[in-house]
Amino acid sequence: MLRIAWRLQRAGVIGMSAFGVVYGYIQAAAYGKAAGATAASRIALGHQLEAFGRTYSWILPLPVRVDTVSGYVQWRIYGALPFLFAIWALIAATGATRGDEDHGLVEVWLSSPVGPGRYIATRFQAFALAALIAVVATSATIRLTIAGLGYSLDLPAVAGDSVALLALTLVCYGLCMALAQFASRRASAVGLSGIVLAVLFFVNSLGRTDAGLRAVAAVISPFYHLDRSTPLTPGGAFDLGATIGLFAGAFVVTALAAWLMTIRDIGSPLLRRGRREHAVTHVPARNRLLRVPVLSTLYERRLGLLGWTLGASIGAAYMPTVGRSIVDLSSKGGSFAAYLAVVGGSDPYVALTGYIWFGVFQLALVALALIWVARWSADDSEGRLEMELSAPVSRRWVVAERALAFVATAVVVITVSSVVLYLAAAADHIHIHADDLAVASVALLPFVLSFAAIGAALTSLVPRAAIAVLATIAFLSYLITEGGPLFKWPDWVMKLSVFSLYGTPLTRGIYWTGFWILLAITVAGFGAATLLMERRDVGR
Amino acid sequence: MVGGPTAAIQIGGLTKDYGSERGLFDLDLEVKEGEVLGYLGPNGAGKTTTIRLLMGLIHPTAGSAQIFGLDCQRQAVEAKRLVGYVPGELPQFGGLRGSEIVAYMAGLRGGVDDRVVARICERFSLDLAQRFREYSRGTKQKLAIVLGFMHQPRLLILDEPTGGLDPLNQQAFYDMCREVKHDGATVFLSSHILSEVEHVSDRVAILRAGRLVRTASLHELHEMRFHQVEIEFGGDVPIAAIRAAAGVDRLEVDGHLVRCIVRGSFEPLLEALAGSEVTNLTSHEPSLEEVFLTYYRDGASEAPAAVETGS
Repeated sequence: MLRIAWRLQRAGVIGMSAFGVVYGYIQAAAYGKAAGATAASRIALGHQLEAFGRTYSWILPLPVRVDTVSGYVQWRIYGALPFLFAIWALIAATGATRGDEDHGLVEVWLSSPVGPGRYIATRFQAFALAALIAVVATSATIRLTIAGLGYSLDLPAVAGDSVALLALTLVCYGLCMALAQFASRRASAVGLSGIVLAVLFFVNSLGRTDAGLRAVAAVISPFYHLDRSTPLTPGGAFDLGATIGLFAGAFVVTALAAWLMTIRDIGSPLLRRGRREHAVTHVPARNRLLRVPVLSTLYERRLGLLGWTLGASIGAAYMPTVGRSIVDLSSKGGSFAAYLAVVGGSDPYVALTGYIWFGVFQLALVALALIWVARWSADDSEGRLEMELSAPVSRRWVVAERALAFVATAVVVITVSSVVLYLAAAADHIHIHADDLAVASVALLPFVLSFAAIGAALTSLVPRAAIAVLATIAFLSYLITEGGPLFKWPDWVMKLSVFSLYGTPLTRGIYWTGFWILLAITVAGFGAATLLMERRDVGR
Repeated sequence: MVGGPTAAIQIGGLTKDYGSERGLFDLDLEVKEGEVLGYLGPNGAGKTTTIRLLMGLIHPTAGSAQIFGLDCQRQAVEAKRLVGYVPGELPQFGGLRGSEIVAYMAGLRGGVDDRVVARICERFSLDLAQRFREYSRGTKQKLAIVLGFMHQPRLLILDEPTGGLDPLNQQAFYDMCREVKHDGATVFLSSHILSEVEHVSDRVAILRAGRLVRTASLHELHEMRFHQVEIEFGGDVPIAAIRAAAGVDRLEVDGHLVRCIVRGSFEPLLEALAGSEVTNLTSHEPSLEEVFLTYYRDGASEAPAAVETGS
């Protein structure tokens, strides 16, 4: 059984290990480039990172002794990895439970002499092994890369960070498996687990600068207990109790998941609304939206659209508060002026709020594009595309309809969240110019459309691999943005990153070169999607 | 290829080669307007490949197909206006209700009369108020039938359409096929069940390993059919009478047990058994593959190339 579960886990462990190795290498190698060769340059970098780091306290731990290589690795690398491993745990756990149940695989398992408890335990064991491999691969890469730069990282300290990271990953996996028992489909399991993990993450990260939230985080957030271990930071330590607590938590939530699966009906969520009596009908729905292209897609995805709009609006509403607290926290440091020079603008509150918001929002919009591309890919593999093409519609019409429905969704999410950001900033006495905000918001459209267009072309070319390829492109694109300035890569390399092409339009105006390149990618991507769709065979 | 101005489907040299001898090879076939053609073949014979080529979903390696004179590749959209398609399995429509799926597909297609939808739903007792994910397999298949028939197409392309339907609903489906034929529609019915095509077809085309091996009238199809019979006797076996009975073939005797195949009516065999002490008699209809194997082993058609197209 474990062998079968392991086989199902294989793609995940290869992907995550590769991701961890690449991420670990780039982040570790970046230190060598940025720190320079002298003690003075390392101290200067430390001061700079301290100012920068505080502005990221809502997502990374507060930087401590980042003038040392071990302090840097603890903060910059082991500070970010939990977030990435938690996302992997979410994807894997919801896939192992609701995803495989949607595909009928769980039913096949349970039709053999295997109970739900053993099923959950086996999937947990397989994932634990996968997580162990990915964590070890990542940590080994980091240590070897740092060693290659002529520095050394204390092995027990690296091991301590690795064990803590593994424990957190397993808690997230078990928790998402438990939460998935309440969902009726994989998509809702991902949504529910994503919300809960995001809450647990942000309660901890915002609690770093808010004592009230910190107390809550200590009780509910596994991320808080991970933060207790900072073995690489000079003066820091590995918190054995907190880590054992995380492992214990992983077993408890996994046992809970097994119990919940035992008491529910396979194929149904744990909690079901009472089946309402309804009148039998034999006629098509009167809803006119369903009969209008684009609107029918938006109607079908209305809950997703609502969720994205609400989620983005809540983030936008909270962002001025984050921006203000970070400016107040950071502006005392001498390096803050240098930081402001990077983000641009004269008003630090506007500059920082906009910089953080549009940075986060870019990532969120990439996630939105990935979800849509995943849906297009599923339409192909599940036969929906075949059904649509059995109607008198052309293949180019299908591509155009997809593109327009995505544009409409992106416009709604961007517009509403930008309005909310404007109002929230005004309420917090941060005066963002409406014109600048409109420009920055409009520039987001070709940014997100370029991802969707690449995804559309990939869906037409290799529907089953589209999402993996697009996610890799997004990841590499983000790495270029992150690593480019540190490694001083040439301008043409930076232009390969879709993120870099967006620029910082709120404070510096639109980056026209980037804007036109993004627009060209969009047109070329959807054009290629149309041509490839015309030529390919459709079918399950 | 035999062509005519009234051909609903005209296929010439149609080939889809997936490699390793898989696919469809050099298919020539014509289906006349108003005809019901049963498209028979075991699993993997190339039936669905043919249908996907007709629907313009996949591109042929060679040859062409036309629907009412419209090329299935170059004029796919125009051709599909005239076609109703029932797949063997509907795709996932998730949380949408049946009524919403019908409205959605009606929006894509246009020209759907709600009264026709209601009539078909009532006939199959299909409740469109339920969500798709709550539907059983058979109910999903009923919905597929509604989606295929709702716009009263001139040509129905049905890919193993009765999978999951109970016998009552299967009967309702056959009745509906007869009615649309009566109204002038053409039906291209793919199936691997011999008795299914017998219910409604005027003619059958038999496919095996990607090649058309025969087209036959319903009468010829009856000739091909047989039953495998096993008879156990309490006393003496009337071997001479059984051997002499019309339609009995491949007789094997093993003590008090007799095995044979019976083509056509059972009456001559039952007459031969009269007066004997029969303790057990079983009969089963072989699978299509078994029919083919027996058919070709018997040498009834030595050359698969003996293709008869048209009528």
